[in-house]
Amino acid sequence: MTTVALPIVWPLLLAGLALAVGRRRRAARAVGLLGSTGMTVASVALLVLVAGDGPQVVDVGGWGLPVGITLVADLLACLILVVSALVVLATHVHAVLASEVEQRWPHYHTAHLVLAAGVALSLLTGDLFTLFVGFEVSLVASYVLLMGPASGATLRAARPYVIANVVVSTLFLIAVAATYATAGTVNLTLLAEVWPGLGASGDAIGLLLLTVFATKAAAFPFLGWLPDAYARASVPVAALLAGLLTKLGVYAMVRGESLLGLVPEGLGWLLPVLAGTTMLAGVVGALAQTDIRRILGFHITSQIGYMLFGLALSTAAGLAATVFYVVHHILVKSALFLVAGTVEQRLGSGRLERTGGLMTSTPLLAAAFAVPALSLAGIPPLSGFTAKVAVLRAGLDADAVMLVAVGTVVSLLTILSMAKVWAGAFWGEEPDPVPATTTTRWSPRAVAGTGVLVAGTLVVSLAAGPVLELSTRAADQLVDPTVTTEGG
Amino acid sequence: MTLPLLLAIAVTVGLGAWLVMDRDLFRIALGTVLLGHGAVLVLLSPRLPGSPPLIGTDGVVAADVADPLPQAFALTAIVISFAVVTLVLALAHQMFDTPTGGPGSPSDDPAGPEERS
Repeated sequence: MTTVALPIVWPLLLAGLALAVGRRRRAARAVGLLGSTGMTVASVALLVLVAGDGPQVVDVGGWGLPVGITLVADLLACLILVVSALVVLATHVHAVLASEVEQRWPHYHTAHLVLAAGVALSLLTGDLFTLFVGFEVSLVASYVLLMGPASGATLRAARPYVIANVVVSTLFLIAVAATYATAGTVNLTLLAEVWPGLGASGDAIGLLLLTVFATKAAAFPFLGWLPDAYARASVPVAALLAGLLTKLGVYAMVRGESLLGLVPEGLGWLLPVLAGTTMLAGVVGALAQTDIRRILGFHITSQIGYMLFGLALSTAAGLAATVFYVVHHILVKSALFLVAGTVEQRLGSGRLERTGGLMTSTPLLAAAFAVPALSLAGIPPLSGFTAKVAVLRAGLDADAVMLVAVGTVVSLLTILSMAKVWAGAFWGEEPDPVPATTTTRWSPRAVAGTGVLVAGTLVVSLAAGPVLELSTRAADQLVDPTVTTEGG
Repeated sequence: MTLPLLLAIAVTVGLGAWLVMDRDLFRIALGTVLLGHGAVLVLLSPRLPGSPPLIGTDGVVAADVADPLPQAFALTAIVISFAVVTLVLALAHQMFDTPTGGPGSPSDDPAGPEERS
């Protein structure tokens, strides 16, 4: 019971405590970091438990189906939870050691931990309404994180983010209401039983949910709100959001599609087309950018396309590849955003024409960029290579030739894009003179948070076999949902 | 679902959607309010199939007890949409304070975050 609820409850408790100690900076820092660390430990403990004993189901407050709230910890949720907790911890460490946001704004820790709790709730919940609540908790915290200490251009960039997500949340709520009105339940396991009998209204709700999740995931054509907000947000915030929030959309889509079948019959082309256009739109958008963080922002969309690719195949191998891809991507993307932010702090700008020479001046930073960038581009032996191979092989097995072709081309363009950043920021001469706007002096502390994520990426790379096997087991549990109905 | 309720939902959500597409953040905040109310109205629309969830200890379905789940949903949704509207208003307020403030003015409005907490 407590093991399942702890990754949600622990950060929430300490978020409240951080608010209480508030202005005493040291105490707030200690409480904040304790929250992130505790969440990571609890998540790992939960993964170990679930990997050993099978999925855990808990009825909150002792209220069972059909009225109670159920928490379901299966392998999919736990795998993503562990890497998410690692991102929460790493960005938190970065915020404390190397960010001015946290120094200017005493309530940073509270918002950070509430977001973490919202993510954990979204991952562990077993019903649609609580999923909505989890999304909202993390979203409201993300609004606060984006707006908190911001002004001017950052606020203007946060605006489309806030509006897009507010509208989409309302659509989600309407979809949940419609689900309850037609099916009489919002529990995902019970829904899976009655869903095929819903007919046309089920199709409509499925499409509505698909739109909501696709927008959350920043899939094409719903990606306009993302790049600006992530390019302007403060560094740890951007890394936290980039790592976690879009992947919640993918997670919800995986869950919904595998349990309910959100795509109506006769629209089988929908997911493959969505996956293909998303991969292409992201990478083409990135080619046109010259700001490191905007490049990375568009690549989020492109990588989401790969995850949808695996999902669109609707085979067990495809699902497993998607799960592995999500695990790999969360670590890598967050690390890249941390490095990009550090480059900006060091040189006063993230625009490639105003950066350069970082390989000679700060080799440690260059190394911290190289590992996740190579992994993102899919260079062996890093985790991105395994992820891409798994997706493409599943695509070949399912005879999805067009998708495999698109995936291969996009993969090459991703290498090009990473090479552009590398050549622009790390090779060449340092800009002369370094602009006076650089706020913090360089110190190795700035890569401590990134180091945690790079280490995580390396672990996933080296242990690609076991992680892929876990992903396969997670996918098997998804396809066969009966395993999650037992227990309690 | 009765016709008046259907019309109320259509008008509320329609107006909300129209307001949200405006440039002015205050109108967007108003639109958010309306969208939230529209969603709550959808929640409260009577459900068609399924059975009443409250079953007495004697196993008899209590016919005169309203289904509590949509009400719990609606209550949660109201709280959430209230929080979101407050945040959108705070965003409008902050942007109003710094209409032209560029990236070089990090120290303005230090009271902002405290006001909201």
